[in-house]
Amino acid sequence: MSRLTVKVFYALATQAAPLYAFGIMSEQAPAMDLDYVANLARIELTPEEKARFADQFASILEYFEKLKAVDVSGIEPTAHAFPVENVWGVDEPAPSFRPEEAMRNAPAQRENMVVVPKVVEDA
Amino acid sequence: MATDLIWQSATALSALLEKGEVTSRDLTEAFIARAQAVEPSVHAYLDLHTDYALEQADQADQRRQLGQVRGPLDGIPVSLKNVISIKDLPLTAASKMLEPFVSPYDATTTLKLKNAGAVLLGRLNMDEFAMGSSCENSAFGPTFNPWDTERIPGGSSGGSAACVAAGETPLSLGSDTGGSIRQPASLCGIVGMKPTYGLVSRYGLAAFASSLDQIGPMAHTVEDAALLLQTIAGYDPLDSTSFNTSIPDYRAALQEAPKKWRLGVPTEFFGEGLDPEVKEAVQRAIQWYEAQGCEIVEISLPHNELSVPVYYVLAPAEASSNLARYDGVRYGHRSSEAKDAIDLYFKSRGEGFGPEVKRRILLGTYVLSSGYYDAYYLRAQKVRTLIRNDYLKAFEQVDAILTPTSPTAAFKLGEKKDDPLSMYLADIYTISVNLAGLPGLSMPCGFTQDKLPIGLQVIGQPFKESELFQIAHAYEQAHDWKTTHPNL
Repeated sequence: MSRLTVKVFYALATQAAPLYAFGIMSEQAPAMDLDYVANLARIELTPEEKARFADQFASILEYFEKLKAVDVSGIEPTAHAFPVENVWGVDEPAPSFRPEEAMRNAPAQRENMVVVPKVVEDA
Repeated sequence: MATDLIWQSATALSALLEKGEVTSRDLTEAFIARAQAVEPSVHAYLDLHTDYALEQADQADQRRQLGQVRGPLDGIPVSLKNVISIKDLPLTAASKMLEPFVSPYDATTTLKLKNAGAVLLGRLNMDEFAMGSSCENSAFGPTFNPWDTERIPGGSSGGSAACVAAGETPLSLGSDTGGSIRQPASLCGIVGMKPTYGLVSRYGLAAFASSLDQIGPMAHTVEDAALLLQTIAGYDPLDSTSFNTSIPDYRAALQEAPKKWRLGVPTEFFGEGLDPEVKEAVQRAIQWYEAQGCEIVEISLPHNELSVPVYYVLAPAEASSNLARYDGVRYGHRSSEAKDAIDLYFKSRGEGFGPEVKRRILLGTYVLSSGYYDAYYLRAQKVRTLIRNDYLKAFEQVDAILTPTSPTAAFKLGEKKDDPLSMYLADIYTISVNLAGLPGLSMPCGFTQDKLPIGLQVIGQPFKESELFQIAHAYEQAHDWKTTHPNL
């Protein structure tokens, strides 16, 4: 899927269909679709949190607009302060946790397995 | 005797141990007694593990009797920010999410401290998952500034700074992602140091923003910070970003005569937003260096003002990925209200994380989401390059850079709590150092009229910690800020 298709898809998927999703940026900072983002992040928010965060994000995103004024043409991105080459570990067996050590912090367990809610539908 | 001990430097305490004038048990008991006396008003500790500490102290005393001393830290109490794991002890990162968690292994820094014979005294309060500048984001209540308990100690390593300032431990470890060691050190009137990225292993440090996080020492003196860094620095195969370089003898370097360094002063760090009292104290420190024959060079770091927006795009982006592991499945908080597997994620995370952690995860998720990646994340990474280039250019002219650590002295509790953006701006002088991966140190350089400490930041070149310590040590030797202690 091309990037444009993804953007269009996203715009259609979120009912707001904001213009900025097509790359047309207004001078104002775009508003964040909090429900959409909270869903991506898998965090349940209370109505009070939503209201408070919406205001706070508005001022933070407005502050982020400073970045748009910078000429970054021809500038390479920095992911790390120092160039890090791929680091390979030696593929040798080494001592590791016993099952009970690894399971020590599991919120629910049975026979050294983590118990989770059912993830498959009934037949 | 005990009150004399609590204000000594770790180096001085080490000498007392060596002369046989005190035992490690004496020291450990003195600091425990002090902590028990002042904790009701400071709340630096989340966990003071008294029995565990005394057991280690007795072992250190035994080693000393047998002539098996492991080095200058043997028998000296050190307290750790509660984001660095100690095997078999709880690790909470000051979050409800990890309230039930017990570390299955030691962090590399912890292991190095254990091997050096240090007495691990307790676990220190912090902003939840190291996200914050005031220590008010702890799920277990804030830490209070020992100089004025109506004020914040700074953050995120607020407990690590406050406990040294209050005489509750001679040494502590903090972690610094955007200023989290240096800013609280400044606000509490102690020395705090963020090493070059990659100098200290991050293995066993609960991750916040992996390309920025570093563990570092907090202490009464520059020499103590050098001693502690000496112990924890070094290549670690368990951290793939750990840098394989030889570690010089930092304390030996302090014996050398001070040089006439070329020191850069960035004009951008002395403009709008800087408190006049802080400005004056820092300028006096700069004048002192000049009077010693150092050359003061006006430099420009034009992209520094962008470091706050760059940081608050990049750090939350990395955090949103790092904190995805807290899903309520294998460890940490699990909601008892979940209807199904997906709901388990939503509810466990909704209940377990505090407001600032949620804000950062959401912000990070947003800037990485489809349609925004280029506009925010990639662009911020490019501006990060510009910020780093500013420093590299400056270091062609100067040996180190002098700035204020924080634009103001400690602010009041609650003052910025509901205004995240104004809180973020408290780190305007420290963040770019993390973005560029440089070492930075904060040390006391005066007090405001209200008797609140002011910090001077010295920024060094990559892996030149020795020189950074020398520059700071020269100033410290000529001033006696550390002889004033808070009234608690």
